Amino acid sequence: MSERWWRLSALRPRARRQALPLLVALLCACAGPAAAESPGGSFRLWPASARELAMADAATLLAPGLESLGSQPASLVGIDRWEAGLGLQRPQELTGLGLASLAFGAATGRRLPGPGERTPTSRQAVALGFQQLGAELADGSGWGEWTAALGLAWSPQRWLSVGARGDYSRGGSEDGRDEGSARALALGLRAVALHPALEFGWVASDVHQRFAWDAAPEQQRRRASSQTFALAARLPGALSAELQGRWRFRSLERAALGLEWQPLGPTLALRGGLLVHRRVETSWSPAFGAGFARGALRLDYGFRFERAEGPGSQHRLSLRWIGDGR
Amino acid sequence: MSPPIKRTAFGSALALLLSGWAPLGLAAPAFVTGPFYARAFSPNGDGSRDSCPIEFLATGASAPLDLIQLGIYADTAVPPHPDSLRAAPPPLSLETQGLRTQAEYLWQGRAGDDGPGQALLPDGFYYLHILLREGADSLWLATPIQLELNTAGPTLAALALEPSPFFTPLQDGASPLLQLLFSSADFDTLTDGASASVHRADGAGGWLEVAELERDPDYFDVAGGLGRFRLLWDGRDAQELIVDGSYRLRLTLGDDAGNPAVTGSADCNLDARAPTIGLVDFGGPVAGGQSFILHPDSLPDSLVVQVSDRNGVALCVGFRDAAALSSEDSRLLPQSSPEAQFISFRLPEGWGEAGDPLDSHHFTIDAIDLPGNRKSALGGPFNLTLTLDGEAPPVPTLDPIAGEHIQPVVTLSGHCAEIAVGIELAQDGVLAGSAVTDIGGRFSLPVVLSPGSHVWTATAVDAAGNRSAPSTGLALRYTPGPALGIPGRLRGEADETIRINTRAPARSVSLRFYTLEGELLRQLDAQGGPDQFSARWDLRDAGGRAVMDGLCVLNLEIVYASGEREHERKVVAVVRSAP
Repeated sequence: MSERWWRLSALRPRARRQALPLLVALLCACAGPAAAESPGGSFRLWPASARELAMADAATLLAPGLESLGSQPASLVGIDRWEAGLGLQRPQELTGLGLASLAFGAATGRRLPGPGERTPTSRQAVALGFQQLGAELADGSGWGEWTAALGLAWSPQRWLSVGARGDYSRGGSEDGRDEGSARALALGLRAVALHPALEFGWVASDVHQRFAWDAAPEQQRRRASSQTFALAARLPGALSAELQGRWRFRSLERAALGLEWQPLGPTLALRGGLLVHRRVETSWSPAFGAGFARGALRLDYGFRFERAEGPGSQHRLSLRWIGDGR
Repeated sequence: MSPPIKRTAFGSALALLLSGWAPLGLAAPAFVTGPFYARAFSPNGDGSRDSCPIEFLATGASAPLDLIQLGIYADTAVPPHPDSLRAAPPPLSLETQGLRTQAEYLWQGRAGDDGPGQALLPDGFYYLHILLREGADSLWLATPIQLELNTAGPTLAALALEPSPFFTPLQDGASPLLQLLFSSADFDTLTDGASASVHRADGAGGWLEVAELERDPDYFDVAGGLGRFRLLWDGRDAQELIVDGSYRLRLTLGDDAGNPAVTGSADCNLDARAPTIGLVDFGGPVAGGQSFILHPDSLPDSLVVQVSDRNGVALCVGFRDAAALSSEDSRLLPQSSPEAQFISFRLPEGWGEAGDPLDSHHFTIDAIDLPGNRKSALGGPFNLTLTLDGEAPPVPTLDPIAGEHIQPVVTLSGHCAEIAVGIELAQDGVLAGSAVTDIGGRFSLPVVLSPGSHVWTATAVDAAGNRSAPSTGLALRYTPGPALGIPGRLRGEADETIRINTRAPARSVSLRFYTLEGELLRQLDAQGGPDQFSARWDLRDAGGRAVMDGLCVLNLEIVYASGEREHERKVVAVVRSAP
């Protein structure tokens, strides 16, 4: 029915792409800034790929595939047949905190890039993720959380895809006195806009917590929401870039710039990024990393530097197995 | 001249003024403006109003005035006729010329030519007539003027205070006004004045004037041939305050003729307070309206109260459970004095002894001082309730807290199933502090730990002194020295404190809380120093929003006095206990 509608439409494909940013802007304006009550917290799915860390989290577009499960579900259509991934993250100068992630994704309806199209996509994609977060708290006690996530994406046209991800997290203290759970929902939209080499992305994230802590008189409920807008471009010289901003409490919470250069094609990728936090105080966190591909295997490493007063620098290592070996 | 005679004469003069002379004045071709004069004078040579000045302005109608004659008569009943005056003019005359003449005369109070050879006229009222002659046919007689020649001032025959020299203005049933009464044989309310000043004893032998009184114009009485007058005082000074003390009321009688004033004084004792009653037992004098809960072993044999009053105690009575205590049950102790009486009231026979039910008794004590002020009327009765309690309170419990501490001050809290009961906290059995349970039975008290391991216990002690058994011990270990005392799980409770002991004197300690994504939530500066700091996070971000529950990263920055900086990162979990 949608194809019929598009055939009946007087707009030509190029004109439709030009009208899309206006449509997305209108959609966001109608939605308004998502309701937000609280910042911080855990009990949610975190980005797991080293590529994202190396690009300061600005690596959600240009169809990254399974890597986007934790950040932009609409980009899951970048999966070609199937993918499996593993990620490990360790902070520097902060003992006792570790994040491990495992994900699997599958897609159907693979399209080859057509004339003017630079990002191959599939028509439908689904991904499952599992994350384990463990910590040794300041008093030496243990803390653990696990999160299961399901992501779905659909691309009705080459230039457009939408996605959704649902998380369920559970965990608490090692002694079992404090237990909690949380549900999170993320909606994403990705579109090629204005130019075949430009992509626009929007993600709305909403987290609902529900806890039964020890010594609490009743269950606690909390909610946190945010919206992320991103613009990515494939640049000449095997270079790609993404600019991203996240809004919370009706103001820009953080901005990020990510760059990726593939001088030898998919075999080697060199990455860098800059993350700027600007809520309480403005801080700059540079990041860099590299990726290596051999056959169906991808190995990525990312590092984000934090100043001494910050929460600690991060190391992340991720491994992917890509089903069709592209 | 007696007052009734004076009043009769003055009334007659007024009648003459209104009926007889007015037509003459209206028809006269000349008139007098003024005159100005002293109505009363006393030619007794004391230098005060010894003569009567008379001034006036005479004006002719058409021809110049050629004679002004003054006539002073002792009786107004027979006014001089103009023809008589022309035939035999009065001796006091002034020659004048011109249409307008300002005349002045100083009457010395004598007859005839008013010269020193003439005898002084007797005290009484006199009437001045002014006669103007304008040519041969014109004669005008001005309206008469009453003058009083008075060489004797008012006399003070007697002075008294009523109802009593003791003045109790606030006591119910007593007069709120003190009367200063004086008797006089010749006090004239028209010409004489009476005033009084109130002086308060300053305690050093002097008197301080605090108020002024005026004669009550509505009061006049005749007793024993004397006029009786009064002044009233409500006991207030110029600031409208009623102050206890000795007062002296000084009365002054004077007249308008300038005779010397007569004074008199009377002393009174203003007492606006009831006797004070205090319980001598139970640690000293205590005011009434209290309840005492006593252990049967600490019950005294009797109640001893001290009743005091500046002016002496007249009566003291006691009631037990609304029944008056007999003279056998109340006894005046030998150390009593008129101003302070010590009275012993016997307690019920056998109360508090073995087998007696532990109930309570209510005592009421009232007293009256010599001036008549009653304690129950002025300050409320003295009430006292004694209750016997021989039952030990419930055993309290101490809330569990972390056993390891790096700073010595810790707040211990707990619960006892009895409200308003004292809680004694002991470290290894040695009393270290006490608290009182609130309406929910909760108690809390900051205590100072001693280095090493110690066992803390709580014991409940009620008002009667009954003690519970000690609570279960709470073992706490205080280890001084560099360390971090950071709770792993932050619940946002009031006593949740992050403690930092630095390895050297530090200038400041800052705490930064980050999300796992690296976003700064809140920055706090720890208090204290130079080597022990503490901080409390209310689990809100810099904008005042409650942060989400879960993990966050704490970055601890220590700036030492030497300038060196040290950073420590810890993971903490927010597990909020309240919405």
